[in-house]
Amino acid sequence: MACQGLAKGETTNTLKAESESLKAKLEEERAKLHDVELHQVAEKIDALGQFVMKTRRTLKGHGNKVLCMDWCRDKRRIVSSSQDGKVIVWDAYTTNKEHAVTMPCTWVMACAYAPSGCAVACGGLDNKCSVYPLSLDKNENLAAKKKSVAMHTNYLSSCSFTNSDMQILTSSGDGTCALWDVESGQLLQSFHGHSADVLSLDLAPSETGNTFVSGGCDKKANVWDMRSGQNVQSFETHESDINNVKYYPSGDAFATGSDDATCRLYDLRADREVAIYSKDSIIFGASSVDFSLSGRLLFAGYNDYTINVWDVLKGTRVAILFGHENRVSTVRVSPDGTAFCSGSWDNTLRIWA
Amino acid sequence: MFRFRRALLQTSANSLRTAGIMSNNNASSSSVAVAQKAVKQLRLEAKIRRINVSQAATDLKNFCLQNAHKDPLLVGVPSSDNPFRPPKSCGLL
Repeated sequence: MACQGLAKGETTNTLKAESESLKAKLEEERAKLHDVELHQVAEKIDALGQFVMKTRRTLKGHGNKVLCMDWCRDKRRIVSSSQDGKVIVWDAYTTNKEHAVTMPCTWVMACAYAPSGCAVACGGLDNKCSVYPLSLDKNENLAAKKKSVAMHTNYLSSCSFTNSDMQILTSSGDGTCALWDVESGQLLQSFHGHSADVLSLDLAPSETGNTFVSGGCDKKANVWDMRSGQNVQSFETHESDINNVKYYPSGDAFATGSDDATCRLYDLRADREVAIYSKDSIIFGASSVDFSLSGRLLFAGYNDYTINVWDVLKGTRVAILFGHENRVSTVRVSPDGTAFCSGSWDNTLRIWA
Repeated sequence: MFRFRRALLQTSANSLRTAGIMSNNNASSSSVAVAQKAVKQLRLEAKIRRINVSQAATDLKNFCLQNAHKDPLLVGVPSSDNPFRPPKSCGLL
C-alpha cells in the first residue's frame, strides 16, 4: 500500500473529518435497513425441545491445558494441541491415541487437520506454523518430517488449511493474517487491517468461496478477499477481544465469541450484527463457538467452565452443559454433525452427543 | 498469560486509532498515511450493497428450517446410527 503525499488541501484534519463522516454514513446506511430483529422473524417457529447432550467420550492424555482441536474429515479422528507443547492425534470412537508429537515450543495455540487426513499443522509461541505428515507407521518419528511453513513476528493464534493440503491460512499476535504455500513455504498473500492481535480465523464454507473472516483484540471482525488481500467488510460491536469466529453453514453470516461474555451473529449481506447471545448471569468470556449442521444451534465454550447451547434464530439459551473442570478453550462440531468436541484447560477433551 | 499480548501492541494500536479519530498529533507522514488508508478503507466499505435485515433474517431462518432434518445434534439420530452413542443393546461384550 503506497504512502501518497498529501493532495492539495488535504491535511490530517480534513482526512480525520472525512473519516468521521464516512463512519457516520456507514452507520446511517446500515441503520436504514434495520427493519426487524432476527428473533422477531423467528417468532412463529416452534421452540426447540429439551436437549439431552452428554459426554460420550473423554480423551485423557495431555499433561497440560488443551488449547485447540480440529476434526479430520473422516469424522472420527481429532488433532489437539496443548500448553506443554504436545500435539496428539486421537481416534475419537475408541479414545486411542494414534500419533503424538512434541513441539519445540510451549503454548501450541493452533492446530488443524489437512483435508486429506494425511497431515496436521500446528504452531504457537514459536511464531511459526509447521506441517507434520502423518505416517501409517506408528513408530516413525513424526518430528523428523516436520516442514516449517509460516513465519510470523509474533505468536500463531490460529491456522487452517484451505480446500486442499497445499495452502494454509494463519492468524497471528502480530496483527496480520497470511496465506502460505505449504510445499515452498512461500507467502502468497498477507492481510493487514487489524490494529491488534488476531486471535481467530475461519474460511467461508463454499467450495468456490474465496473469503475468510478474522477476529481479534481490536474488537473487530474483518472479512477478507483471499485473492486480493482486501478487507471487504468490518464489524465492530463487541466490547472486548473477539476470541473466536465461525461461519454460519450457508456462508451468509458468521458468529463470534468474545471476552465481553457475549456471542454475536453478523449477517454479511445486511452488513450488520443481527443477534446477540447473552444473559445477565453469564459474565465470563466466550472462548470458542461453532454451529450445528443446520445452523440452528450455536455451541459456545466459556471461561466459567461451561458450554452454552443457543437457539441461533430465537436468541435463547436451550441448554447448559457442565463437565469440564476448567475453562473451555475450544469447541468444534464434527464434520457430519453427529457430535461436538470440547477442549479445556482441565487437560481433557470431551465428545458430546 | 495473555495480558502481555495487549501491552505489546498497545502503542501501535493507539497510534493507529489516534490518527484516524482523535488526532492531536502534528501532521507527521506516518499519521497521514494511516489516515489516508483509513479513509480509503471506509470509502470501500460505504460502497457495498446491502439488503434489509428482514430479508437476511428470513434467508437465515429458511436455511435452518430446510436443513433441520439433516442436523443430528438438532433432531437426534437413533442410537444405532450415532457412533458416539452406546447402542441400546450392547453386542460387543
